[in-house]
Amino acid sequence: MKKVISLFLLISSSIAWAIDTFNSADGQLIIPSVQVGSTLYTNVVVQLSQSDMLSVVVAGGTITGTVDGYANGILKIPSVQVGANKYSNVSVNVALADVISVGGSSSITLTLPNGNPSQYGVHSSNYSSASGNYTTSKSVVFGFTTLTPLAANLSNADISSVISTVNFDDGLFSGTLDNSAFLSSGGGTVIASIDNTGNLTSLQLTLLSPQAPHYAGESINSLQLTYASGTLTVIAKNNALCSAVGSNGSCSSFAPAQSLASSSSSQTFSVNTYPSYSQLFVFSDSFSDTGRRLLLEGIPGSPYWNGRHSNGPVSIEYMASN
Amino acid sequence: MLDQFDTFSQSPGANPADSNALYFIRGGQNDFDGCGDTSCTAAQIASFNANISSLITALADKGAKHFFLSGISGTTGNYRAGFNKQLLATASSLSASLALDITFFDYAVFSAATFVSNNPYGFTSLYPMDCYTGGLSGVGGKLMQQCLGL
Repeated sequence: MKKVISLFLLISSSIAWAIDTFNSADGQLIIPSVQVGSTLYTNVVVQLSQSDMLSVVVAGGTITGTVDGYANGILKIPSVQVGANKYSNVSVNVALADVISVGGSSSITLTLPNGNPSQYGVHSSNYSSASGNYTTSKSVVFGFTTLTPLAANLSNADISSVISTVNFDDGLFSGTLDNSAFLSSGGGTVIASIDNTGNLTSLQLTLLSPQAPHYAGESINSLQLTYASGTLTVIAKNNALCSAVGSNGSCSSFAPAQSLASSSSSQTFSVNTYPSYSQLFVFSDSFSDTGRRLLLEGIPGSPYWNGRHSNGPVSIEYMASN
Repeated sequence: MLDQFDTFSQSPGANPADSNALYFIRGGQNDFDGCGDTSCTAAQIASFNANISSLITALADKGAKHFFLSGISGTTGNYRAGFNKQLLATASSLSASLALDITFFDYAVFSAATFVSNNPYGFTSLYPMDCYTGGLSGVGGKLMQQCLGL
């Protein structure tokens, strides 16, 4: 998912001209002011990558312009100080993801992705058949999210490509998979039907690790889920020892006394659609700082991550990207 | 945060405020630091809550409708728990009186359930946090690799 972060800034009526500063030691470019469309951003810090540096063009000559300009992925810099040297009319490719922080205001907005992410979930009844480490007091909780609600009136359609995350708990093993992990876990083909009101009416999928081809003696985890006509059937295997392999490379039978479980019961998939917002405005403290304090006061320093009071992105950044 | 609101209110996009946007609000933690945490009086704690109530009201006056309101850490001692309780009551009251959509996030309960000794969520920084001594400046502090002896 493309994450676009823009910052809400107070535009000054009088613009003080100042040159950019590039620190070759850490690759950070500090930009006093940059014009993007009709908006002027101030005190921007950009982390230039090696590929960014390869795109640098120094035209030289008389300085053109008073503030940086940014369009189509190219930053145009009137003047930049690098150590003891100044360079004029410089251009460099910069991605939005390279922007570490933007100063000028305490409130920020983050552009949210379009669409209404939806979550589909179901909780099976307790296993009716269980062996090994499974017990009949355990059950399956399963859910998946899509970036947008599944279209109405789908009939046995492959929806694997639009699934963003899958979560599961079979009583012994649980996890959350993103789309790529899900596809590599045997869920590559997920067949679903949706009625005319958006409800899920059928689903077939299998989570499998490791993937086929299998071999006799191999330990296999799997969760097979079939939902049709209001009946949910689950079959779970936990480190089950494969005893025979079929001609298609799949395990066809398992050794006795393995951890196997199954149930079949009347269940209904729930559907929750998350609200969608146009922007995110943040009024907060250091918990939500995306690097401004570092710019203004020089803290927090290393080993804190990119000026966050954190070892990674802060909560509002995750919130904005979801 | 009221200063943040003043900055926000001077921007063209704040007049009116975007009614389809989500307004994230988290404050109070630094207020407790300002009055000595456990030394904070009931009146001071009530004023922290009043600030946030004023912020939500001011945003609502400009047209904001959707809010994510976070409490602060601290479940032990009744001073922070009291603040969180007041904040939840504020959310409920403003939601009803101003017809706002306010989601209250109980950060104290979340953090208490997250940062527990058996570390169920696999935080890799639990040990290095004990080792790290650099403060916010980072000066003199050990890097995580050094903490781990790598």
